[in-house]
Amino acid sequence: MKNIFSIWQGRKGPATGFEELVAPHIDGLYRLAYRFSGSRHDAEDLVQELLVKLYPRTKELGKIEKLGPWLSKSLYNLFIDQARRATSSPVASAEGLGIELETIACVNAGPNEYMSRQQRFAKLEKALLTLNVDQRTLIAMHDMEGYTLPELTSMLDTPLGTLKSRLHRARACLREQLSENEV
Amino acid sequence: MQCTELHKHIDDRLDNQLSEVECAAMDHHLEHCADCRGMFADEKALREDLRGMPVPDISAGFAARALRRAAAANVASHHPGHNRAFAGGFAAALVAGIVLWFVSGVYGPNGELATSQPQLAELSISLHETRRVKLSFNAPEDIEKVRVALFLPAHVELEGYPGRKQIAWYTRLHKGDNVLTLPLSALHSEKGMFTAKIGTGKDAKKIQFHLNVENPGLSTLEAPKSA
Repeated sequence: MKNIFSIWQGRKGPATGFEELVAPHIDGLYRLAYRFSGSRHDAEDLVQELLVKLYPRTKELGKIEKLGPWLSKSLYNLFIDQARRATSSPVASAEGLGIELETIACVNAGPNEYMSRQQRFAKLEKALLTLNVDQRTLIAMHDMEGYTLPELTSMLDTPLGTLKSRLHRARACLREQLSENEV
Repeated sequence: MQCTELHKHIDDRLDNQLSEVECAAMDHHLEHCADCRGMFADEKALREDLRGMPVPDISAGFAARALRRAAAANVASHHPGHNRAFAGGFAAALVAGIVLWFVSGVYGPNGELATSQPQLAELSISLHETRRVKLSFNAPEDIEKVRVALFLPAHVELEGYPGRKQIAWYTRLHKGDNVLTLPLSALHSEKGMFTAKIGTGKDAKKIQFHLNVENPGLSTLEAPKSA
């Protein structure tokens, strides 16, 4: 059934209502927010806060040609702002994460492979949470969500060379953390 | 290509930032260097793991809730000068344009009932069939934010929202006719009142109509007895 919340049929032309503009992007925003935060609850809170902030700017949103990347950038900026204000320890956040990972179904994998993958994911998530916010978000967008370097240079207003250097350092930190956790 | 140079370019290779010539040089080195081959394979596996890390499903109904909350949170910041045509009251401005009609999803779109007094309407639908009821609101101008609330009788459900007897959300009205289509399913034979409210706060227009659920199966079952 078509969602009744995107109501008012018989209209033609570009989308102009907030729901019409934003609703198609909510799943993607949540996914990115989860990559940033590592928690479903925090991810939904982040998306919710973004929507609240953007609602008064509906007319402006209607004029944006590529709304998806623009929303992703807005989500990134919001998360960075929140993370820099936050005082909680990233290690404390990591503790609850393993539980959530266990609840995620793994398709097309046997029991051994499933366990092995889950263990690798848990280690990776723990290591990711030790990175600083800039490193984690960069890896989330590029290595996890597949934003290309040219897309990120535009989204983050960062030169390609700088972006590559930051990514290289972020991955080096991640590998180092994974190695330490192995010991 | 030497080992140290290859190590520096592994990221570029996996990011598709190397030219064909550079890729060929790297491949040539990898063929003959087990250490670099292992390092490259590890890095590639790490990228694959990162890309494959699962994301739990978003909570059911989150998108609709989030949109409603976003609208509700911004009610206080609503521009005071907006919709000046409604200074005399939202419901009063809207009332002249309200029509209500009923469209059968089975027998075609011509079984409409139009009335200037929709509160008095009585509609019949068959048991276990989904029928589409359309509500039309005529607005004299664009309105950024109105609250729509539906109150369903106990014997009727809105398709896609099982068990929900009250549904409300914020939306906008366009100038002219705005049509809301509601696919309603009857759960059991009974009469009840359907109510829809649209407006801003207490200043809302209410539409009510009786929903009479008929059970054609009853007459079919009874037929053999009388035969």
